[in-house]
Amino acid sequence: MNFGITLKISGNYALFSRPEMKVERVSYDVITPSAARGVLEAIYWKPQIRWVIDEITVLKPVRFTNIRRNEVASKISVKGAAGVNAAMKNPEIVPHMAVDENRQQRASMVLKDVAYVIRAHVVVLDQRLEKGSDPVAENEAAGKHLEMFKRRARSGQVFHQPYFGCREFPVDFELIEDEAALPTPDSALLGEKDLGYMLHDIEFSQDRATKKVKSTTPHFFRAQMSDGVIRVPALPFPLKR
Amino acid sequence: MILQSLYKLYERLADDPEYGLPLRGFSSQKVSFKLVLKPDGSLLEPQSVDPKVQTLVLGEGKPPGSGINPCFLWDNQTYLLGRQPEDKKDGFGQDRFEAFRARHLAVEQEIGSPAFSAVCRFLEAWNPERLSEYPLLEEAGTGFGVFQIQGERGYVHDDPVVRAWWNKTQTAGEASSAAVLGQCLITGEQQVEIARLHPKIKGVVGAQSAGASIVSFNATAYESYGKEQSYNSPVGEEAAFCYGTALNALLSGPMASRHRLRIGDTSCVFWTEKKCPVEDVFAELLGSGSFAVEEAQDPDKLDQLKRLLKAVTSGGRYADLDDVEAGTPFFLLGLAPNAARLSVRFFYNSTVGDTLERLREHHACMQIVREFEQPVGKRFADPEFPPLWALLRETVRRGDDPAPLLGGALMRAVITGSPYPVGLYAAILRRIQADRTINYLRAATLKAVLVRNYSFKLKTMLDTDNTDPAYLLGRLFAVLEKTQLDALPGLNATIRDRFYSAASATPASVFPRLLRTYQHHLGKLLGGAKVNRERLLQDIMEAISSGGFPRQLNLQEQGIFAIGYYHQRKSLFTAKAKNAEPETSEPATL
Repeated sequence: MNFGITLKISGNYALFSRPEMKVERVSYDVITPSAARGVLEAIYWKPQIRWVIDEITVLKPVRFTNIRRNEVASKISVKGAAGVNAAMKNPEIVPHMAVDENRQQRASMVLKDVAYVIRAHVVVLDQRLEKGSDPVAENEAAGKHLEMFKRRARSGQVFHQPYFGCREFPVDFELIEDEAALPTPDSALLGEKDLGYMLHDIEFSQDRATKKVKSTTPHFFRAQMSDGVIRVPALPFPLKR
Repeated sequence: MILQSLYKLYERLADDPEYGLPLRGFSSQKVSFKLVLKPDGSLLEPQSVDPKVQTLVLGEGKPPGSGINPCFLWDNQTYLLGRQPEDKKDGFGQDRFEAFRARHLAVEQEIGSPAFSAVCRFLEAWNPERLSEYPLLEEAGTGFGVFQIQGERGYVHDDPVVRAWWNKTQTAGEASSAAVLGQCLITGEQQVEIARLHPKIKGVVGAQSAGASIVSFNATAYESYGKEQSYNSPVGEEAAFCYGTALNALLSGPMASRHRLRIGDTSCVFWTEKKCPVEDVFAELLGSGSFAVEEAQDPDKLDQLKRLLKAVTSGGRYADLDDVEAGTPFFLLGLAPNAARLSVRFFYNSTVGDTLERLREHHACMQIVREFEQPVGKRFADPEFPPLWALLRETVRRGDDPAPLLGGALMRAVITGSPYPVGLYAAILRRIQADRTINYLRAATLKAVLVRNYSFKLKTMLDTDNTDPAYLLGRLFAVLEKTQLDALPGLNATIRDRFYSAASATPASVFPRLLRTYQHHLGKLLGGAKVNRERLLQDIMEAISSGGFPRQLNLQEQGIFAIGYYHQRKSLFTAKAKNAEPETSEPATL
């Protein structure tokens, strides 16, 4: 059964940092499945569900440009007296970082003028409609979440502004409900193209008791674009807890 | 795709002896001297070695850092012989020599090679005070040295027994270390050992001479998911070695001149997936433009170049001229230094055929009548196909460096056929305003931007049918200047020097005044020249007069003004040569 949605997303710039070049950033050629998932989660997400990207259609030719931005060299520490953990216990503590002391100018190779159609489905991890109630059929639970997503997407509601890889690059989105209204890829994208290995998603393994993250494992897949369409394989790790 | 393409390239280059790729566990170094030992370990004499010839040594390069890290059977004199550097505190050389000696003596039994034992005897007996006995070593300075046994052809580190031992320790060393396993993002293989550090890339202009990394993480902000160093970007040890070696071969290997070219602060390397004749001459074509033909020495290469250049400039298809597979994938990578790291300015992959077609389009946009078609005195002729660096040079004062991002942006525009960078156009106009020089390269660049970015129709030669007011004003200005020159030969500052900027930006405020002085200048001209000049001026004025002089010209119009000026000026000087009129002014020095 397909609990799917189709969403057209577009923007002026995008930066899907390659892990090997994320310091002097270089973008992947197209949006990664995990970045697409991030867009959906910005519109609607609950702990009970997980979005899975099935297919990405690239609508515009891949074009790059270079920009320089001021970024910072360090992170606010999590541990320690002035760290994030301490601040969460004590509202008096305000974790901070002096930006002017940590400023660095870094180059980025970003994508320009992007538009994609993403097809995704929802996996329901918890089939209860409310806490304490009995689980309902999978399609009923998925239907609830999908309808919520669609209602929000139609009216442009978001939890936070979805972005293309970096917060600076906002996403415009549009729910596609009529298959006939599907935009077609640019003619420059026709044919087969190998995009190499691309980040698929990151697997978190959690300690059951403490909920602490034990390890994070990136998984990569070979992205093949055929007439602008990239089929995303199934995730190589289990989704359900 | 960048690292993946380089990884693939490694396989091709590894099979080609011309590239001399080092094997894993070895590296090519510039060795400047050798210590020739007798079989009993006493020093016969040091001899110099040609440092231009790279020598394959054990180990993947000199370890970085200030700690004591002796190499194996090769090193500089501080380690090898205990030479004390002048700027270091006492014992600096001695400590390093002892570490070097200890490292070798520790494995003497394990290796069991007579040649290696001779080196050990030498190290035991050597006293750094004897350095002064050998003047050659004084000269060798900071170069690397190796060992050789008297009467043997190869070096000690080439000894099969030593090599076999070295290979064994290399593989053993890997297995024992606490390896992190994961999926390699280059090959996609699961559960391979992930490289903690990536190879240093040498040969990028402006980067540290010891090399810089493409992949490196030196501050916490770059790290994520609790991973450290290069575990942030899982690349297998072998894949990391391969891509690094391949890239180093392109940038600084023996065949680097075929693959590397510099544009502004960006070092470009390019390669084709298969060996292909275009690859051999592409660097020259892009790097030197038409000058490459004059520079080429090798007749085969010259022939190649000529055909390629002809294909690019005449619009012929290279594929028709040669049986090259136009579909061979072609890669171009632009790298710029940023302290210890390299940033990727652009990466482009296409096919050989497409790339040549883009070059042809670029040439078509640039095409404009040349100011000097033949060399004049010491001055070179204007190249029909100018190299990119020459265009960039026109954006700044002589001797200054072009804007850092401009080179890459221009390269991208040329190679992908996308619009030229607007900054290029603005910079050229700015330079024209500042030094009032409109030469071939500047006019060609302005034309290219106007044609490609703004779809203006501009001709190669003087276009008398063009009624664009800016173009006509440019022509008018050239006529006024020429008249002044003819009337007052040997003038220091012409109206161009005084009025060019104002005339091209705010014509209405300048031209009426210039036309009044024109009358005075015209009065000094003689007979036929006077009539011709007046006729030419009237033709231009007639076309302008309908709208009067515009108050302002915007940036695009200023470019057209410059092209009109260039065209008309070129035509004025050319026509004169044809009619063989008496020389009334100095030869054109625009």
